Amino acid sequence: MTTANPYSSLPESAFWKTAVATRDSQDISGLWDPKFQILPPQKVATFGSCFAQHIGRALRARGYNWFIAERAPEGLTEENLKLFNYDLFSARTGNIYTASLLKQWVEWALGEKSPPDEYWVTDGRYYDPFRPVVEPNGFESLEEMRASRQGTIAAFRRAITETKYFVFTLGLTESWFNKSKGYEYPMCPGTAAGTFDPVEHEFRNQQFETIRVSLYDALAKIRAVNKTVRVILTVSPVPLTATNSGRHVLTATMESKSILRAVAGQVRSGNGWVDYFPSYEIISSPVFGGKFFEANLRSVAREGVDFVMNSFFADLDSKFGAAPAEAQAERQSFNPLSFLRKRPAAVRPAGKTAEDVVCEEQLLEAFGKQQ
Amino acid sequence: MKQVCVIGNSHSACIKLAWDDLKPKFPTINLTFFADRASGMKSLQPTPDGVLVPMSRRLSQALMHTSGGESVIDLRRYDLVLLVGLTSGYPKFGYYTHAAASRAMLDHIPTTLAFEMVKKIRGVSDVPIFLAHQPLRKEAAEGRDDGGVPIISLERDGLVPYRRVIDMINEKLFDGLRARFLDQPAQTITNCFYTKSEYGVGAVRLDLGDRGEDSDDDRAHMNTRFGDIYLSTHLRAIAYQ
Repeated sequence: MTTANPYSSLPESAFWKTAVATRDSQDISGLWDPKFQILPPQKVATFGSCFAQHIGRALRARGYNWFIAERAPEGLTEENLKLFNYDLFSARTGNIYTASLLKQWVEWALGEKSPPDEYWVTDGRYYDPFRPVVEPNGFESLEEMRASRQGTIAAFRRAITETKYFVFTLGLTESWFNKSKGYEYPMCPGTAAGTFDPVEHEFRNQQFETIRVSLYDALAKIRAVNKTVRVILTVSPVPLTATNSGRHVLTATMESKSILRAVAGQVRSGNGWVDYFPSYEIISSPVFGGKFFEANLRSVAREGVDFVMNSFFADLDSKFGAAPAEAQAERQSFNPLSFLRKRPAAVRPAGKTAEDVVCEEQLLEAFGKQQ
Repeated sequence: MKQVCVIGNSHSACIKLAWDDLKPKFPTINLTFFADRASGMKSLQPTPDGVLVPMSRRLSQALMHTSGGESVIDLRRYDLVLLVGLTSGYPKFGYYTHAAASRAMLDHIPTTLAFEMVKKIRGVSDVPIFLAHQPLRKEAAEGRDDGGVPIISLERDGLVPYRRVIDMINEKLFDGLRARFLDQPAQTITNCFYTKSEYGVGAVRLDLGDRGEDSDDDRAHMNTRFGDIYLSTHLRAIAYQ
């Protein structure tokens, strides 16, 4: 016979049977208890790994103020916007896969450190080691490459200092550094561009405490210049394209994602201004039977992205109520990017998957063994 | 006498006011202006014999008002056409790589009224066509970025990137249509891609007598001095090409 105990008064969501097992997977809800209400006019900056691109698009599609701090040249078609890596993140940083890379961008933006002088040249074109695929076919001159990066750093600074919400998606633990100079590359040199030097280029598979410290440092620096900023962390559910850890890519993926999830949880728990949204759990949980992945079991299908983002907004509405009528109207009329919408309509192939995000990491596949 | 037909929107106002003062310096050239706000010229339709006819009463009135009595544009009466302000000539918000700026203009210009007008005219007339793009955006206050695109001073000749884009626009879009996309005079440009602020002081727009407003922002329109420099730089060359 049971007596009153802490479990007896818990809600249905606390029990696997009532919250999961007896429900259709599409009806599972309430996975996130958001700390903050996001109002449509408030700026939301997004950065991180490739999965972060979905968040910005979803915000825009629902009339929220996705903060584009680095504007694309007006007139570009949707296809060419993506080709030139505009409107993927709030500035043209390319993917920021690691917490340490985020910290590096923050330090450049705040003037605490200067970007290294390193650049790569291939066939007469110049490549930015810190944004190796941001300009299709590389830059035409070193001056152009530096001017472009200078613009992106300034835009990144604007993003972190002016935004109300900073959404960052953690992607990888595996990283590549310049051994003697200490700075980090977003990708292994020699994959997207550049030449790999086994003496100078060092692989580091970052562990929990290193990542926690980097992430906290980066966020604390942002908070120091933006006192009211609120942070929402996510972990990319996209498995590794390749691992240099020496282990099987499946177990390396699980280890990597587990560490990132644990770091995000710890940083969230210790700071009232940091929240965590469970996109990783939603996509990866066995509850959903892998149906949110494409056939390669890596790429996230559009259905999965939609489910994640619908959960995001549904949980916001559930916690704070639907935006008031005037805010709804404002959401519909507020058009911070109206100049962008003058572009010719996108030509998007019907049925295309959510993998039309720009995922530099996939380049690793091109440099791996041919199967 | 060389007859020049100027077809434009609000950006033609500074050209018109400048021309009023410049006429004596160009005794062998005559300009006739046809203007309407924003994209009003969209409702001009060409006839097979080379006349552009307004398809709305409002545009007809605007043509008569700005030309001094002409309700249609008879291209056969002109030695050249100058289209003013119907497209931008460089992305609005500052520095971009050459590839990005070029791609944006190649994507954008074919969707503009300027391009549509060139095709309409070329369909019924061989008259030489020149295009004056909207003035480069007036420079921002010192030390400020421009709506998300930081102002960057390039170390080398700052006009090179702008002129390369103009050359590319001509090569890719207008050479084949036997039209010429003109560049903004160098002395009006600062920081590579901006119009010097002095040319925005006392900027003028169209007054069509109906108290309407143009939709462009206040950094888009220039003053009579700008129009003076523009005509002084280009008019003789295009009239006597």
